Amino acid sequence: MIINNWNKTAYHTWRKNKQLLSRFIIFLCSFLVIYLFNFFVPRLMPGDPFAHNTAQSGQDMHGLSAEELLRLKAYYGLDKPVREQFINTVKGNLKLDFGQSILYKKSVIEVIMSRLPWTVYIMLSTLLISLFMGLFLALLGIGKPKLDSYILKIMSLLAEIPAFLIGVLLLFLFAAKVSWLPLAGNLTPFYRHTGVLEYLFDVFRHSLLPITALVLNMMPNFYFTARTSLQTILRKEYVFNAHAKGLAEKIIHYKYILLNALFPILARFFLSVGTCIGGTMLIENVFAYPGLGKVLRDAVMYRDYILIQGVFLLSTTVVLFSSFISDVINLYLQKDKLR
Amino acid sequence: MTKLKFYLIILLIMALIFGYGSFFYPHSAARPEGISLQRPSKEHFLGTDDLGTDIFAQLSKGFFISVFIGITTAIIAMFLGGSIGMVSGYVGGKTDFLISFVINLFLSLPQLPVMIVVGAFFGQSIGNVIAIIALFSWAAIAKVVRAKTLQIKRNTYLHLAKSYGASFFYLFRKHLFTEVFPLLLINSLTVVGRAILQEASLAFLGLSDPLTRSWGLIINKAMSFTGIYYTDYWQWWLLPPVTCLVLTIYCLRMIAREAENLIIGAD
Repeated sequence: MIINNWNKTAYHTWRKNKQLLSRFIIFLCSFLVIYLFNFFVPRLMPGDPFAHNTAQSGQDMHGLSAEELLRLKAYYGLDKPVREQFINTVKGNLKLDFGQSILYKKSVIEVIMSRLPWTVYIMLSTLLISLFMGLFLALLGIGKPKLDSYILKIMSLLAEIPAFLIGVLLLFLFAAKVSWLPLAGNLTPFYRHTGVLEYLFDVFRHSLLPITALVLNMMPNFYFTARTSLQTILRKEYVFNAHAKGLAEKIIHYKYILLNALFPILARFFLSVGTCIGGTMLIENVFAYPGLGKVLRDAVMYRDYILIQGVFLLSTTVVLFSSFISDVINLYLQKDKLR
Repeated sequence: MTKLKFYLIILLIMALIFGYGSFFYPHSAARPEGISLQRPSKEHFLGTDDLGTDIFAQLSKGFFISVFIGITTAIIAMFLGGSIGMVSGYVGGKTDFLISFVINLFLSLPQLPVMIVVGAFFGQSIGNVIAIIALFSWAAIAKVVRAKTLQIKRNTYLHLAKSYGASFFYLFRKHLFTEVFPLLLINSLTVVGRAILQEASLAFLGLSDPLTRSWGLIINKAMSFTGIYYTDYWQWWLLPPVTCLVLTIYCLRMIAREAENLIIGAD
């Protein structure tokens, strides 16, 4: 019997490892596809940035001479064969060199690093608040069918309204009326903060509406996941047993139900990074919040292709990685179910 | 069923109102006709924008543009997703493995950044926007269709038909397609709403076709007019497109959901 049991465990471990490996390969391949896409799209597209006249209106316009063109091509390494260009790009990227931004006249990595904290701040607080609110609302509905159905209805309505439209509405319904809610930006411009606390309050004040808009859109996802996983767990025998033992309602809720419902919600958390990054990029443009989304849009507007590629590579890598983590968590859950 | 009718009627009413707006309403959606920044009046139902173009006419035209984009995208995604999903599920083996990988790849990509980059590099025309959104919508359909095909393939009557010498096209026509089609239709219906939303997002960022006045572009134009924050123009310039967009997306989503319930009930 013991040997039999061991075999079973070994089989599960083997199977789990195999699936884990295949997920990892999918992740690597996806990354590769994205990387190649990022490298080849500008080379495949019609047109040439050097042929594009960059003179602004009012200036004397003149095209590039043949010598200048050759010099520029050599400067950007575009005179070499594509294979060599690719190897050079990979080498540079490994050293965190993503080229120079044309718009900001700084290196791309510098631009990204100066804006990334704001996007991360918005995204992380949105996801965490949504997670807790969703979980809380799902817990609220346990054992109260009427309340539960009301919450469910409101959440299904909210889930369909895109975040940036909520943002636009909030902007005009609140920010334009309430004086202490700013319309745009991340900090009060040209204001010298006297202390850390005041600085933090300023950050909070500016981020309140963007985060609210995103939370209203993200929260339903967490609520649905939490609700389904809570309902499956409520039907389990061990919860029934806990009730039969006469354990206090609080202990059952927090120790038995919540802890077991946590993993699917965690998987949802990492999966939501993908949807959240799109929402954040849009909402940043609604509130002119200086994060990556604003940078990406400005880069597209001013045809700063190098910066576009940098932001694109970073954001897609983050999303792919977090969905990989979500897959891994789901895998562990499946293994538990197999037993 | 009654709910389904309710949402359909809302859409129909919108179509009628905006149909009046784009065919019988005396103002053009593209040319400035009148003084700029007028308040709503009998002459201009929703006033005029900063160039003097009638807002109600723009809104009406925007409805048909959005619906056109949504439906075209959905049809392309339906063909792509349906055929790829069915082939993947039916053929199986290495082909299935490869197609499943591509499906999963497309599902795990963050849509908005990719759409922005492709739009930025390949130019902003309405055809490109439709192509990009369709490229991102087929995968979800293909996944569902593939699963359904796999499920159908296991049925014994399919084996029986095959043993009688039924060709692939016969099986496809008689069994596969008829069973997959309702599922395909519902999943394509969800694409309509999503495509409208994605086009609006791109247009809002100013990355859609600048010549096609979709609702997203009206919102974009309204938001980039600086005076909108200090005056009450937003009530008739910004609020109508936002409300219409939300209402349309919500109705389409609910119709898809109700239709799904209907089919699950029928099974």
